[in-house]
Amino acid sequence: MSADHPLFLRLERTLDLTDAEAAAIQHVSFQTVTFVADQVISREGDKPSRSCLIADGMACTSKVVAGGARQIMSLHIRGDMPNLHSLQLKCLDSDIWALTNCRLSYFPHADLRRLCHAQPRVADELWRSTLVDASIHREWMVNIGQRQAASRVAHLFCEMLLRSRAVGLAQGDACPLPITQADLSEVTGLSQVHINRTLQDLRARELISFGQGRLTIHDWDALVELGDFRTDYLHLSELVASTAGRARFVC
Amino acid sequence: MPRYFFNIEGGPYPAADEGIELKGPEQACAAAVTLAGEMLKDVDGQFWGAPEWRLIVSDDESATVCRLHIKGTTGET
Repeated sequence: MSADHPLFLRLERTLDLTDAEAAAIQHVSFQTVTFVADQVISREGDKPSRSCLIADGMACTSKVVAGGARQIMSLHIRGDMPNLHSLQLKCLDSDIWALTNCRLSYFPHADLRRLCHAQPRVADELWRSTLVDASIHREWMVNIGQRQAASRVAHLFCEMLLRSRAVGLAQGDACPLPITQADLSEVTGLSQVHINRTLQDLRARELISFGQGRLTIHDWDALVELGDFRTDYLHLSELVASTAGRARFVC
Repeated sequence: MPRYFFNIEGGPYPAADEGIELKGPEQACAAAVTLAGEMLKDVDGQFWGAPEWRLIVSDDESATVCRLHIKGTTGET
């Protein structure tokens, strides 16, 4: 049995897998595909016959409106499955782009379906992961709709550090965040000039460093306060949530 | 691309700006209006009675590209 099957690695992070579940996962075939930064992974309107998992790199889900502006609705990091919902929803409703060079593992829908039907706890876990994605979408809607510029960016930075920590990508209060100010503008719905000023403001307050693809948070509690951030919507493991200090929310 | 500086006097950010690269003066003027709009949205009605804001956009030779003066008065004044 191979312990380096990408779906096994993903599921064992959140599920204490039985031998039978681990064996069933090995029957899901996978193919690894690499993408370069700014390459499209899938397009709105595509009808994929497989879902992917990010093994390395960063991707985003986005939509382009009639005027040509782009809104990024999700940032995807290692371990995320950006189009898992295509297992149930046949036609993709948004684009997925590689923000950096990416390595993706693809699993045929037929294999995933067989796995879900045979192993209900695995099915529950995959379902749960799409529900967490939806929870993050709801929080982003609140962020973009109601929070002020500095709070919006602070909230996003808090989230990305904790999500990175949950998949072992963080070192202390630093994590990879290989996105440009233009990307940040499309994530937050703020103009590039405003993002630029906001980042200067956060740096001047000695809350963060951001650049060269990396985020470092210097004052977690102050950034949590500024970003109106709490952990509940991320539905993190108790272990990761316990590192969140004042942002921790027990439910 | 040329660099433009969005210096804000009286507004919510420190006056001096590190600057940002934009295509040209037209884009800088358009960005100034958007920035002012976004800043005004964030002050959430706390604007009245505050001193005038000035948003002055300059290029990397310190030449002024455009200026926005933002001031409101209530009543007849």
